[in-house]
Amino acid sequence: MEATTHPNTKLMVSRAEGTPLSENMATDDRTIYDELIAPMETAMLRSIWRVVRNADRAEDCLQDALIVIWKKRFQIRAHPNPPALILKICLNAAYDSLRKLERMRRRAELSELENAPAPPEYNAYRDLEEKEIEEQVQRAIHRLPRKRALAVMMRLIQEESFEAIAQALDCSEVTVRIHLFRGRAQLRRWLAPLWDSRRQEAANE
Amino acid sequence: MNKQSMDDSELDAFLGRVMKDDLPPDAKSAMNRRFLRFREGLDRSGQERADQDSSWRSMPLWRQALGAAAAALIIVGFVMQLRGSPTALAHSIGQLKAIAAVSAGLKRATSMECTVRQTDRDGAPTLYRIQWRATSGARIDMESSGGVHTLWVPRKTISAAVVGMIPALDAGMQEPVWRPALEFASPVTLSRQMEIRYGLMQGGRMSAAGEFTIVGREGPQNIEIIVDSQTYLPIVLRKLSRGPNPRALIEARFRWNQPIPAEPVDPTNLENPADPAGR
Repeated sequence: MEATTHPNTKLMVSRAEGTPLSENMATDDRTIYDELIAPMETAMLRSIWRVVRNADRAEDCLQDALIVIWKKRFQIRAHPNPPALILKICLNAAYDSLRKLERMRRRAELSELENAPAPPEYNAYRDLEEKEIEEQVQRAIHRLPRKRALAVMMRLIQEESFEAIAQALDCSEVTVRIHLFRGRAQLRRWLAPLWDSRRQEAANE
Repeated sequence: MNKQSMDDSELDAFLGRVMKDDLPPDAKSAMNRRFLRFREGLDRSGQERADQDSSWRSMPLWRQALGAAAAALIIVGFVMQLRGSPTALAHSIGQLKAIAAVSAGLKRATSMECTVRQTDRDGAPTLYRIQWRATSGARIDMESSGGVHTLWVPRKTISAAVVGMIPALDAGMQEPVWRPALEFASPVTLSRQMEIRYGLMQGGRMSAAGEFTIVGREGPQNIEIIVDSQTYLPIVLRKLSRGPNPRALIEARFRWNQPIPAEPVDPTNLENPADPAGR
């Protein structure tokens, strides 16, 4: 993740220096958006995409995330690490999307979706095997308990620090490390067959 | 873990490759449009809110006051709910039930003996003794500085008086000296007074003697009725002056459903009661 200074840092400093909370609360919606969401737009859509990997579902996730962020905007402003919290909300929406997708797969509705014409630009060059691997990874992630999945995604995908993850998940860094340890162990176990076959193929080649 | 398994770095690298950052341009554009629409929605709602604020300000004063009053009522209702008003409501329902029970008890009574003591402004007392039987009517004896007088009130006259109250009484009974007693001429008359004139709304707590008190108002006087909780019949009725030192202007004491030894009503003149002088 890029090491940029979030505008909220400035906001928090001013609050720490004694600016009345009511003054900050009175800020209009557009200013809040510009402070909280605008600097995070790129990170938000990229993080959602990396998990969901489908344009329509990514759009839906983004919409869900925006609604949650807006409902919690004052809570986010007061949070020690607003960018991490926003990222967590986005990944949470992505995680929900994976669960929803899995339910759809179970109902065999996915076959209809898969038969529907997919946008060619970014599906054409992805071969079937790659798509299957994606699905298996997504399934593995959605099988993880929510907080474990969020910790893994924030760490592996966004390379967030333990401290930031702890702040976003509202837990200690030790708990984050435990989540990551157990999450990795589970992913290793579930993805081992896939990994082994790929290694075998690579060795054969 | 066997040697075929991934280590942490391999797992991270594998996941990184699968979930790579390859957001296609059209997907990026679609998502950016979401941001744009969201921003536009914020601007629109901000404008609408500003419009609403200005429309509130431009609203006539009476409508603002009405709105504020409605909000205040909702808040008061909520606070009352939180502060246990259901108990108060149950209490007032209990009081109403008690008053209704007294009224019903009075209507069921078969005989009554009542002593009414009236004290005028100078402190001079007038004593009325009332004997009433359901089958005949009432006899009222008045003792005052002017001597003893008797008034016979037949049952039919009492019934008519109950329907039309005092104006239904004949001219002799409308003499002011009898008025304090006529309210208590029969239980039905008393019940009618309680229902219409006394405005009984509050009840006190049950005393150790098994009595409870109902209070009300009649013009400038406070009414206090002590009721037997067993029979729901009044024991004492007082009309008190208001002020820091309330004084009993009228006090009536009752005995109910006791056998009265002699026939209280003049059997020879049932429909033509005696004049105020008792002749």
